[in-house]
Amino acid sequence: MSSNRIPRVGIGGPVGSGKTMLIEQIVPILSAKGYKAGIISNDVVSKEDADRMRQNLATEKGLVPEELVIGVATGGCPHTAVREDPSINLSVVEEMESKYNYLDLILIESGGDNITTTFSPALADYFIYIIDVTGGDKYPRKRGLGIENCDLLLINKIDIAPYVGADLKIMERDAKIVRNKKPTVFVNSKTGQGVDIVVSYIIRDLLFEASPKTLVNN
Amino acid sequence: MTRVICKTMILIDKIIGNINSDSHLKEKYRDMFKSDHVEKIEITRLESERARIRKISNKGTDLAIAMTRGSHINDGDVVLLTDEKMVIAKRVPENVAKISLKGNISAEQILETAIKVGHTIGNMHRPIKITNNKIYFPIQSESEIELFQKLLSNLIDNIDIKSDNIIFEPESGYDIHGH
Repeated sequence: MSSNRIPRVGIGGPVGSGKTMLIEQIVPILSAKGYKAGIISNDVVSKEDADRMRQNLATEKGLVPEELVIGVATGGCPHTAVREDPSINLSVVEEMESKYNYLDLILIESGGDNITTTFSPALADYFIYIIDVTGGDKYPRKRGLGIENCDLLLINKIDIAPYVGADLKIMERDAKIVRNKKPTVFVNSKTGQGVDIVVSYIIRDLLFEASPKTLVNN
Repeated sequence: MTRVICKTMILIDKIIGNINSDSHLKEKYRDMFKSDHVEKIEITRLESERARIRKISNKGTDLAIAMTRGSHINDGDVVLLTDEKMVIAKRVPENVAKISLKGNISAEQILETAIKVGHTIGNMHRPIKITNNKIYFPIQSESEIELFQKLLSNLIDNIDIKSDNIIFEPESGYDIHGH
């Protein structure tokens, strides 16, 4: 069983915080290093995000086969589909694991949700939570399960911080306090700034620096 | 890039045993503790439910734990044992709410109180632990005690709600809900 399990990253964050765009930045960097990723995207009623990523990463860039970008419409509260009852996501993940064993990792995007999002440990091995500066620099110190418990906190849209009066130094200081030394990275997922650091954390803490499977097998 | 490469990473695919339940390991732990060969990794409750995690011990041993899915890491688990070192998992205590029933309530009231308390905690998606007639569930901050006091205000003659800081181990089957 352990031989065919593929490491999984859960990516959560409020609506519009940049989860989808982050994945669109992460996958090309992983791909250039030889790592192959499957993508599952949760949305409440539509499959908009999955369709966009499939168009971008599969159809246009050819980085991922189209069938490896899967949309899950959760209905109701999207956090329950990754936290209390991840059974829909688990069935998709397990199908991916059995059909595409060459994958190095699976990225699971939660439907946009509030700050209490976390991923069930049964679903994700590594949890990234993304917020942005538009909520103001008070955001990290207001806490919330996602901000406190995630393995890696990302603060996105740092380019517009001056326009919304968000002080990044305050956000960095507060994040350190509430997260008990766990890392926080500032990113701009529109330009890709900081995303290489995110990828290096994934490779270190989730993939344990293993070489890409397809490179090892060839 | 801030990538740190640790060439001494040790892969762990299963837990060796637990010093709280294995007397042989406990003895070994005592000996190695005396000679300062014990190291610890600190694990939160959510981390304890993971089968895959990378952790650095308090003495710098780099451990990449990748166990069979569904495996847990418990307080007192021996993660690594060599002649030179024993690495133990240590659970970090967390904030919890503790609800106890007041002594002088009727059997009928106990039933109503228990069901309403259970319903409220379940509505907030919290795992629970019941020991010594007390119900424990995790909270993030003291302000949540006020929240639960409000939610349960019509039962306040029957129950006490206080905060505590403990190693919380949920009842199995009451940690996440499945359908």
